[in-house]
Amino acid sequence: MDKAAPNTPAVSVTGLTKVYGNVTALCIERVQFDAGCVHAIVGPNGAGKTTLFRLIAGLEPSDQGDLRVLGGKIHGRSGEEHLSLRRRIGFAAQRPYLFSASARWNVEYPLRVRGITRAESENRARAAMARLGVAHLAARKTGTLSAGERQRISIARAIVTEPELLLVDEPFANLDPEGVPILESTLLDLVSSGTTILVATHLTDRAYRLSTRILRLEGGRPAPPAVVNILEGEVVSTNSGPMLVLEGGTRIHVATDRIGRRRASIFPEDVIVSARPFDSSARNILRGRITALQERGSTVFATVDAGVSLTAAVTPESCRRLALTVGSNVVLTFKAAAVKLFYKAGSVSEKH
Amino acid sequence: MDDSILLGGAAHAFRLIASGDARVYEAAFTSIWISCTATAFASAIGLPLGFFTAIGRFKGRVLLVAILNTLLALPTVIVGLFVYALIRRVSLLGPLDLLFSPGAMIVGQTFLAIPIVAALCLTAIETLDPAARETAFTLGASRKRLLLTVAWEARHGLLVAVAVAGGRLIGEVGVSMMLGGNITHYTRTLTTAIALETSKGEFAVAMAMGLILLALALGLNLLLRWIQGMRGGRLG
Repeated sequence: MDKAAPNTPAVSVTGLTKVYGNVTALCIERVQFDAGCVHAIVGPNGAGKTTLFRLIAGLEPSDQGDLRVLGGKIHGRSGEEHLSLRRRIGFAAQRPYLFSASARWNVEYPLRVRGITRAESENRARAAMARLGVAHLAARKTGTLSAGERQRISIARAIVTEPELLLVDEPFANLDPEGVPILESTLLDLVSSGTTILVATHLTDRAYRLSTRILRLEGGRPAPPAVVNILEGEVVSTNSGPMLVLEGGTRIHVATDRIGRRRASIFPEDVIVSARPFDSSARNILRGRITALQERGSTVFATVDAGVSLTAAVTPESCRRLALTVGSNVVLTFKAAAVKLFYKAGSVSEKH
Repeated sequence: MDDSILLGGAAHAFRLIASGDARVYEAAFTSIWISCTATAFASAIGLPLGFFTAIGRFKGRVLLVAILNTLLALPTVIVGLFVYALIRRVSLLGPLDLLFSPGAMIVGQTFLAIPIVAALCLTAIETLDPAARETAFTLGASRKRLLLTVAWEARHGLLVAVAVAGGRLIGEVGVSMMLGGNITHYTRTLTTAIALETSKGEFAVAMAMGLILLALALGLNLLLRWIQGMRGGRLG
């Protein structure tokens, strides 16, 4: 009855606060996480990502506010109702706690506590471990596993029940390099079968590989997204070298030897704003018009429509010297190497 | 005690052990079965007591923890006195006719060991990583399953609690003497027999029994080391 329909949010937060002592760990006016998508929660350590997850998982009560998870209230319930709601959520913690038994025992645990037979639990646990590439660790005692292996077992344990909502806290922090693409493709597979996934990470580029739905937290509060120019398009090889062809048709020189669909970002600090083109080694020269100017700290961010919307960082002094205002015609210059390319996680060339 | 008695006694003691001396082995057997039974009863009461004190949030919890910790150092003669008063012929439990029987010793030793088992169990549960409970919670464990998982994760600590209590009981003398009465073929344990044989000047017999007692204590300690080693993940 409170099964999340495709268009209802899997998690909705209203006026949520959590205070530890006199530190406000979390203070969110209003946030919704749509069902059936990957959402990345980014922010530095101590930004409130883990606190948010703990509240959603029902590990801690909030001090104020309304938190609805999969259509129900996770707090203030008791007994069976509460149990059945939290059994629809999977949670892989940042520092996973594995029970002191075999790895397989750990992955079977969530199934066994749901009353699933030993034989079926065994099969499903084996499949979940295989999915994360750790089937060979099944018989190992958890005390003998490496941090990366523990992380993968913990994630296998969180997904083995096929939860409707999966919370993954800093999965990349301890993961070994070969585990990263495996995890990414596993998460994207789960999303395509309808799971809602929330991933917390302090690594912005990892977040963008997984999703364009980003909630940035700082000091427990939602913060404007880090000003990064996120582009999506196809890398093709041309006579003048590899170029990224964006959806609007804009072409940007990039430095790569692999073609295919990519996500890209350009740091605003790497984009030079000038009144006229100038001679340099930088290969990307785009003309455009300023659509927005925003001063934040000691930097002015100029958003320029150059066929694609790009943001450049300039100092207030340069801004005055160039007399930049909304509507000014400017030239943007940046090097091909300034375009950071991400293999979109789960793209075909990368699947394992 | 002069050296020749000590050395000659030790040699004689080994001969008694090797030849299977009835007095020595009977006392050892009595010691073991009484202590094991009492340890089992004390565990049946002390483990749940310690467990629910550790996880519970009730009024008087702090006081209960303080009492348990105080009772860790409970003198055996106090327990002896207390149980004696309970079971002597004219008292509450007098009709059971327990005094100077193995039953009386088991009752006394059980009381002696309950605080040990409970306090060590309490510590084992309290020092368990809170993530154990939280993980079971997020994995969908019911409340009952949650508690079983916590106990399972703390199992090494719980085994240590039981083994320490057993070690204390096998070597105690106050309760055995006061409630058992050191009766031959009936309530004579290693410790009460050593006290008696020493007072009779039978050093060799006393020493043979002492060696067995030490071996039992050593065995228990090795068991403890092994349990603690398992916890570190090096063994098992």
